[in-house]
Amino acid sequence: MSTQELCTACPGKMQVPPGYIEELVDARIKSGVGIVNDNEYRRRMDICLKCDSCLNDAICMKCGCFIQLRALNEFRKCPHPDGDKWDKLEQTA
Amino acid sequence: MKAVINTRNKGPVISRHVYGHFSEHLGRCIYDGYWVGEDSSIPNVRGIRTDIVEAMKAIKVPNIRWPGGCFADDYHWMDGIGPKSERKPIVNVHWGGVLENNHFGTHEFMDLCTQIGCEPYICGNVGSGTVREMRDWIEYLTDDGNSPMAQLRRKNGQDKAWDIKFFGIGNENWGCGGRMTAEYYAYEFRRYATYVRNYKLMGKTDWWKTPHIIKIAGGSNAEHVEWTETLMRIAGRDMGGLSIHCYVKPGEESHGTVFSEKSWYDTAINTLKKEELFKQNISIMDYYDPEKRVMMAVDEWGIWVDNEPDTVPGFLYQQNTMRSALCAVLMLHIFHKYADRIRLANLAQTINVLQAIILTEGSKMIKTPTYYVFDLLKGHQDSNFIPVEWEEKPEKIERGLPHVDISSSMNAEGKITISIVNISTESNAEGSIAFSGKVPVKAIGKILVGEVTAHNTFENPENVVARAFHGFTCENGLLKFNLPPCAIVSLEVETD
Repeated sequence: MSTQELCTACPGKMQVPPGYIEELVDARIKSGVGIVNDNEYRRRMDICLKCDSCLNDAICMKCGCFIQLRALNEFRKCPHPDGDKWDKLEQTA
Repeated sequence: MKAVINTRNKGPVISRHVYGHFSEHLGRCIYDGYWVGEDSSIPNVRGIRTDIVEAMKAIKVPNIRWPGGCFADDYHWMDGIGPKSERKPIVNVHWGGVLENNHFGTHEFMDLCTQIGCEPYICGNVGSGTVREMRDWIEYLTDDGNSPMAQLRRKNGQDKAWDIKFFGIGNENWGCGGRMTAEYYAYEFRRYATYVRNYKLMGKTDWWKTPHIIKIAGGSNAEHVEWTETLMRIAGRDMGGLSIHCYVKPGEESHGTVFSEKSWYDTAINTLKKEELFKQNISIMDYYDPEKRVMMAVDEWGIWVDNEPDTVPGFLYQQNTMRSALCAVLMLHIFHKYADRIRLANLAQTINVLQAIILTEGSKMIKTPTYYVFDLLKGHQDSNFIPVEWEEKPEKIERGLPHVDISSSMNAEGKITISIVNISTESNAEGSIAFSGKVPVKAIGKILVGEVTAHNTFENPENVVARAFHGFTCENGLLKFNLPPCAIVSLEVETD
């Protein structure tokens, strides 16, 4: 009915606008707090992008995070239930 | 403050079903929430996480509403049955366009309910479905005979039909469920509901022994009483329940874990304000249904805060603090007060979404402060509401809020459950409760207490947990209590 508000799932309300993730990544890098170096970031991202829990090259289904943001955070671990994939590869490298 | 609990003044039974939960295909509630699949390294039974099932059994979850929500009106149940490898995937258009493999379908949901020991509350598809699709689902679920759907169910591994207590005819049909007017939906409801029959009744001479399915009509978000009026007027006789959705905002400070005490009080005020909305809707229902046959089903409720930093906004993954626990206990107390009409409620949304009772990250699982509210208050389930009378009312604190909010009930064995929340962030709440009708012999207390922002994390999972409460005495028929600030307490009182 016309007087009702749009419900929360109505189109547009839950969409991620273009550039949204990039803006968050840039802001985090500019803050300079608790972020990994560029090499480590790329290494983590490579692992995430090959992981079967990664959705649309952007979302980790094990924690609900944008992989770009989780991989950037030096205090975060990979949440995969079979073990930390970032850590595993570090050991074998 | 001095309260009196007169056990002769027994009110209606607080249905255990107001302690229900809502689980939608949204974010990580179902997939990577309940459902990890049979091959997961996370301990599971037929793909369903064991730790979650155990946690939900422990708080006596009475029912789960599924599959939505908005998702329900785009869900086609036949895509979620049969061999998993052959199931057609579904694009979850409402929640981020995620492609779901449909491995969690009807059989898996019913298995989840069986493992937990709770009733299923299934919501059918009106928005993009057909009457036939809904009718066939009901036949598939409830027919023990040899109908085509019963045979299909057996082919898929389930011999006996299931018991379905609650069935929703669409969801938010004014919005994501089809953008209908109240009048249009009311007639659609009648058409669909006609074909929602319990097939277990068919051809039985003792059919009255089998309960009918309680058909629940999609309602408004509580503020739009004209929707309630139209539905009750046109379709009230055909429904067993009318849904109401009720989300609470925490004021201007909507961050999940970073906020001031102002937001704590805003949350208390905004939650308590909902009582007026319930009263307005109930008065309309009373007009059309004075016998209170039709129940109000608050089948989506809870606090709505910002999603956690770094997470996908559309997944609605939110942290859960003592502020959330405050919202939960105050809302449950309101449900108790209107127990004769509010007989079903579902907190949104159980695992990893909105005011979740459980959060998961990979193999880790934590219980939120809200989980412990449901633990503390579970003694109220199926007990008679006993209104608390005041000899000396609680003092007013911030912006006219009462210092405490109390609810009490008594079960069939004479055990009294009292839940008390100290709304003040600064001062202890001291008071006494006298009893009339029954004499208290002894009591056991539990407490949930913490700073307003206190919450559990995967690194510190037991920062806020229910603990034994000793801040009370129970002597000579008088119960005296002393609660610290920001505390929720339950007392289980045994009587003579």
